[in-house]
Amino acid sequence: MIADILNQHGQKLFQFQREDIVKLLTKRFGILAWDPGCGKTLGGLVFALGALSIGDCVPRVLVITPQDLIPQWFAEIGKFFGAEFAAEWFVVSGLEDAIQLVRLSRKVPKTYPLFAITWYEALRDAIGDERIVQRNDGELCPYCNRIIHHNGLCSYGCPFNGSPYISRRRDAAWFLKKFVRNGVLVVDEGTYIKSCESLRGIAARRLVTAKYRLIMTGTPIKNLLSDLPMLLQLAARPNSQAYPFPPEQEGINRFSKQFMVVERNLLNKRRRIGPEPTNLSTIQLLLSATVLRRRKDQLGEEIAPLEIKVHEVPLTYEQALWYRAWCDDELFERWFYATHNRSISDLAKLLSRMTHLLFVIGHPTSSTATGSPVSLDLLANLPQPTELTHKNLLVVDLAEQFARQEGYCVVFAQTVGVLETIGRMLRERGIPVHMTVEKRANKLQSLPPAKRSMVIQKFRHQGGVLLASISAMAHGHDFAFVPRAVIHSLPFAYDSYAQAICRVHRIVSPKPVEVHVVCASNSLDMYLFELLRRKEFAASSVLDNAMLEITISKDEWKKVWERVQESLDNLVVA
Amino acid sequence: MTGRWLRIIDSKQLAALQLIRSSKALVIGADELFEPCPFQPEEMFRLQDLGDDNAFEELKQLCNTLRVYPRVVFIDPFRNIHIEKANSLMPQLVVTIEFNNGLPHRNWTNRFAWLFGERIASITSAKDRYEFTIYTPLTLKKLLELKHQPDEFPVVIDLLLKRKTQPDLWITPDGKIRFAQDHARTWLFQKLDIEDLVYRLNSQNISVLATDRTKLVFLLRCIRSGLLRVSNEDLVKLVNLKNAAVIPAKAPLLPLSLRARFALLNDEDGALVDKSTNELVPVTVIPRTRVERTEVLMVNDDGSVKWALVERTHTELVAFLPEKYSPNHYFESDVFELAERFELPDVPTVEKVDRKRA
Repeated sequence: MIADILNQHGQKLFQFQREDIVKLLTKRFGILAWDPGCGKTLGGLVFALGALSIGDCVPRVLVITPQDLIPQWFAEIGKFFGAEFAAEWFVVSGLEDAIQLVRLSRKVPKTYPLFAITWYEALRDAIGDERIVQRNDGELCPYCNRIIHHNGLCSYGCPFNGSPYISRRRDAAWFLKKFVRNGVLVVDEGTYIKSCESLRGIAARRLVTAKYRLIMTGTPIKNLLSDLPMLLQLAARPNSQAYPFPPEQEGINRFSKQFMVVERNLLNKRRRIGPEPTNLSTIQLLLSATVLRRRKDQLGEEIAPLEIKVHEVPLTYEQALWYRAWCDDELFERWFYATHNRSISDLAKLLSRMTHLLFVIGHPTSSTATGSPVSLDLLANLPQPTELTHKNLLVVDLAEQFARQEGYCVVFAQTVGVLETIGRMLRERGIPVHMTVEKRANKLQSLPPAKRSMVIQKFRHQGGVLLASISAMAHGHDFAFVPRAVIHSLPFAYDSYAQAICRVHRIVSPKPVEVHVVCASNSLDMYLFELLRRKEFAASSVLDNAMLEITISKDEWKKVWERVQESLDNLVVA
Repeated sequence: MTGRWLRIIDSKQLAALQLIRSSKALVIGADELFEPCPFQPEEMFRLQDLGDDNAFEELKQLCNTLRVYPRVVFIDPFRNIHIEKANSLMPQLVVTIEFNNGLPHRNWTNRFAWLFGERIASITSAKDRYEFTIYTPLTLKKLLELKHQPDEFPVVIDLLLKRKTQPDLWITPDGKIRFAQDHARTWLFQKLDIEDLVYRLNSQNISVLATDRTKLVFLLRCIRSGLLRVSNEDLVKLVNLKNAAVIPAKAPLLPLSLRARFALLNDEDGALVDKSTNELVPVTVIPRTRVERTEVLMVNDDGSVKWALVERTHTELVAFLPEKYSPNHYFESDVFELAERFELPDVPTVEKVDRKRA
């Protein structure tokens, strides 16, 4: 039936999508962890509609997604199932909407399907205060005026009968759990709720009352194996066959003790849970019941090829001087003492200097590149930096060329401040520019999610160049229509780099995708890129589908730093 | 009985002799030695007719687990092994040969009394001057009671003989489970209190067991403890069926990786199938910890840093195979080598477990 609806709109499910959704519907819960760009949003929609068509649940569907992805969800619903169906969805933007939805759900017949979509922050929208009252035995109940017997019991029907609270704080999730009870819950970008302490995670986990529960994420383990328990708890329910651990923090503790390395410090005799996973065969068996992971090369489908091209550019004379200055140990120590007035650990020193160097390469006029609050040129004779670098010029040239050839181009940058300059230069050349950053408090920052999604919609309709922060665009966005991307500056984390590429390289990408990475020769830029490529290789060659973390170790950072220092004399300057 | 016999017999001796006369006795050793014995049992069956030492071990195991012991045993004492075998079967009454020829008891004859109980009668053979001596640990009352109870030991013997030609249960080529229905097997199923299970499962498709894990585990436990006999091929099928009998909540979404299949061995019935012989190899899996020493950067409360020695405890599973295999243990990281020689257990994916919903 669903396939027929999709056919009516000229769409179809891939074989792997069809098979995997059938598996998840058979199980009634799961974590869908296809690689980014493999159609998770469509998978979530088909899961929800499939559950309704099976007919063993209440026809109430709730989708939770990051706020900036709501327009994308509607675009996909319209694209795959028609605009009429998209118009049936309710958007729950807070507590009032949630209450209205629950009321509506009670009024309409049980067989009439209701569809709602909300975002994480809306789940936390709350009213009232937690007020505890002492209801001593023998006293009169202030509400029903009956004598309180034991354990706060007064009279049947009294709202305070047996309750230690006179009033409670209720959030939207508290009402939505009634809406979704025995219904269908789809959670997009599940890593948002990986922490047991975050309020949005606590709110989302209340919705475990749903009969069909699907969590979708491209990176089920973002950093550590301990990211998983809270996702498993919502998907499989605590103390169940598929997740035999107690709920919340206790569950994380026990899970970590079983599946992560225990580190005992011989100096202070303290024990702690280390980041490394262990007991791998048992964890793989446990996760096989809940997590459905597929990498792009395991789909069994032809996808548009991806080519990553590297452009090496020289540094300007000014950049090279600043670069070498930050590498000078003595000068750095003086600068750090002048700005922080304390000593610094080896690793912090190394990472701090690498950050300064990346900004010197990517955004030389920024305060991070020059040093703040004390500028480095106050301690050494350094020239005035400028944004007219070879890197920026090449990025502008490439973006202009791609926008003219293909109609669309995305420029990702870690040093977001430079996007203003790049945007200005592109506008001067007559290219439409869409910025996902704005100036706030004298600083260029990523737009809030709602505004960001509007900018992306405009970019989709108008074409041109989208300028985006590499880390802010890490989740959910679908740029399958963009065949060219330029990475101006690289992040320190592998997953941000990989996610950025996955925004444009998707299973539905109609054309071959090219990602152009612009790096300064023989500099930290180049070494960081090489390190990220090595991580990419490690990620794709992990055996047995083991979802191991692809983090960069301290030793790797030290090696990169050694290379930076060794190559100071070989910097390419023009 | 002759007058000479009557002179020597008291009531316990009489009860013992009556028990012997009315029983089917097991003969351990040369039965021709007992031909001149003046008190012959109803029937004699020879231990060597059962087969080699494996058959004896099986008999011993059955006796111990079913708590059915031989009522009367005739022992040829000329080899110690016969006495040891008889002792391990815990007989209720033993007849053996001595050469005392009327002399007072010698020390070595006391050994029988230690092993088999009180020496209640010693009757001289007219020929060859043997003495046939009867030992029993039972009281007179017990002896009298025993005479009126049905003797189950011959059925055990019958069961062992029947098993040589047909196992207790087997799987037919069309995938049905069949239980043998002869007298010995019927008695066995009754003794094991599985008549109901046998009635329900007999001639059923084996996929019934795949959906009823409790019954399957019970059946496998009976097979493993030697109570039920099944051919190796069918045992492999049943073990695979056990892996298939997972509930949908625990069934994997995608085919299991080799490592995850290694973790399936961590089960009381964990077993591999030898790819060369197709034989089922029982495996014991235990978690092993490995301690690795390394240095980490430690930040003190005052912000200073120093290198500290730490011990990191890793956990991994180790599978132990029977000693005849070399190597006879594999770590989970060696799963690829293990998979080259043995077929690892596997479980079906969720859509195969719950075909109806899929």
